[in-house]
Amino acid sequence: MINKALRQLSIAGLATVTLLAAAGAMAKVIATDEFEDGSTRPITLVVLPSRVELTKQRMIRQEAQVEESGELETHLTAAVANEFRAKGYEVTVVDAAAIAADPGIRELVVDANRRFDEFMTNIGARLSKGKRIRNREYSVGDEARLLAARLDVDALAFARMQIIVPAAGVRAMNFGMGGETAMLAVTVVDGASSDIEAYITLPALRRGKMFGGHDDIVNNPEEQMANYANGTLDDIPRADPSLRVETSEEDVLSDLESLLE
Amino acid sequence: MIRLPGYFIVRENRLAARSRTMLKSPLCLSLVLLSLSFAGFDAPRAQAQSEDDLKGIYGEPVELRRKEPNDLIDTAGQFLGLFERRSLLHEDPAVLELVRRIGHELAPPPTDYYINYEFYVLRDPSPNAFAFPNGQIYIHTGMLARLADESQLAAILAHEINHVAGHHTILSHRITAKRFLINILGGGLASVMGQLRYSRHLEQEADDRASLLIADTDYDPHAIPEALQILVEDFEGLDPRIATIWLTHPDPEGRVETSRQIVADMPARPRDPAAYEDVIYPLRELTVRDYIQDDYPYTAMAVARRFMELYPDDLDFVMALGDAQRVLGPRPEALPEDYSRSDARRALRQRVFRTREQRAEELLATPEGVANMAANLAAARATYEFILEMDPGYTEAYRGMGEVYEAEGNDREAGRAYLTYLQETPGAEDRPVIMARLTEIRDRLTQQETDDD
Repeated sequence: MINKALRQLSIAGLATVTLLAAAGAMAKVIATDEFEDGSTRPITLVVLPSRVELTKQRMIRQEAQVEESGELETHLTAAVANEFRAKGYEVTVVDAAAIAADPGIRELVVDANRRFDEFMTNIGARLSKGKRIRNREYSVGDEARLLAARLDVDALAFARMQIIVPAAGVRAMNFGMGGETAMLAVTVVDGASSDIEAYITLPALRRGKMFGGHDDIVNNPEEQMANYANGTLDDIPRADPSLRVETSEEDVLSDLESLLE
Repeated sequence: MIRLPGYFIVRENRLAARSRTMLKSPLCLSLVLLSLSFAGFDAPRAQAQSEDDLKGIYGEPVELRRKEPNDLIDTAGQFLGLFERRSLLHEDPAVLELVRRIGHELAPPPTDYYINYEFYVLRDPSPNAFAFPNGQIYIHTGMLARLADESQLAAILAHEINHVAGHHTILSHRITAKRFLINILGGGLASVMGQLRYSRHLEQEADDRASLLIADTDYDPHAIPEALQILVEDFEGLDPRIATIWLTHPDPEGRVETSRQIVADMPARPRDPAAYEDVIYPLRELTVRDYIQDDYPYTAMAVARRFMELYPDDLDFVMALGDAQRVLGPRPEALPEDYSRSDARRALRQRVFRTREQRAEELLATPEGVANMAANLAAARATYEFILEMDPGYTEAYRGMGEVYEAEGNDREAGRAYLTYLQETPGAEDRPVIMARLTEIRDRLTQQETDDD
């Protein structure tokens, strides 16, 4: 009887280890072919202020942790920028102070975020399927083009994170199911076409408490956000200027004028 | 909080949709979370009470209990930081001065240490305003742009001030907790309906008492029903008008009618729309542009036409009308007369779960969609041509013409119009957008030539 139980336990253990190993190899980077082959992969990009939604689920309501979220956002933005830098990208961070100082940029950032959020609402979970991204069917509009041009970068990076922390009572009501979850997605939007070039999420089994739960995040936000950013962006290809295909404005205009003659 | 037609409903539904995904806007979520406490809830005991007992507490302090200072007051205060981080605070000094002047004129002396009336403008095109229990009151740029004068602004602010002065959020919050036990015991539906009823009652109370606040000032109380009328407008046909018992706010038409009756015997006071116009004009233009950008063309057209009447010589609003006509794409020029609630529900669902491109694609697969597209583009072209006739130097119209041609599949004419636009407008802010379009046109024309060869 004991042997049978041990055998079952060892099989379950082996399955878990296999799954974890597989998850490590299954980085969730969905990108266009051109991003993969480097022709539209950016060299310069701007990391917009990230958005973190830290919510405590109480018995009778959900509590948005507004202040804590703000602190996490600062660390996450820096961590995402560092990850891109580590991969050879030239990164600019546009923080709230820089945005506030320039009304023109401020308008463009608000517009780009509004359009991006609308798009994400429309697409929701379907984004992770990837086919339409690879086919360049997803564009987030002229707002992104204008912002990228104004900031003189090849691409924009939007980071969105959600952390849900159920209270003990909620867990008890759910019979122990539904623990803390933390999810992060980084979206790279091409500045010229406004297409989604890459959508990078934390692989499923790297989520949640793999990097630490709510207490760790609150007590050591900088380290935890760095861990999440690294877990998400570790698999993206490096920036490679030799592969990127640039089109000059003059070429387009002269080509077009001769075509229209 | 003011109930919204169309525009806001989409946001609420987006939120519902997004709650199933990881990519939610913290701002929207937070607002909705807090508005749940706004939404107000009927105390269990209140079911046995008369309607008269469902009241806010005005003119006397309400002591906070246990965690309420943290849960309600501190959290509310943190939202200002959130709006700052999101760059959503509109900081035009003239607009802020206007809102703050009127707000402080209307606000009663605070009854509690935690109330401090402060007024802010949020960069958001939806016609909305809301209040936090600590006295922070926010009004959207989209609401300011839709109002006609200071009296209407006073009406909106008076409504929000009443939410604070009447301690509505705090009372609602307490009742939520009490209702929780009923939910657990299986009385969820009855409990929710009671909560919604209480919420509607508080909203109505905030409307009704707005006239009391305004009566002590020089503003015209007859502006209250006018301001509420804005909430009835649903140009996009996205308000399915669900039964009032399921709403946090009273029926909008009913609110207008009730407030009309309340102010009927009150003396009208002089109004000065010109003074308001001087301050608000930039927001009018910004808001129409926002509607176009956010793909609310019916609202954009309706509002642009209204502003064209106010400013007959201003071609910016005519240009906005042309852009809205173009953005209509394969949608009908106006909502059909037999447009029903189920049509609105369907439109709402589509808006939440389909991208703009997907929605247009589906409509273009029908003969009606193709015909609508042609008619709307023709209307837009006529508008742009009118602008150029009125002022040949209004070069933005060439950009519009280019977009019409491009949508019609006439790449050669589109290319010419865009090139004219860039040549005539060297410092065009949207140059990157036009260049991107020209690049695509060049690629298509090159491909076409290759195919022809």
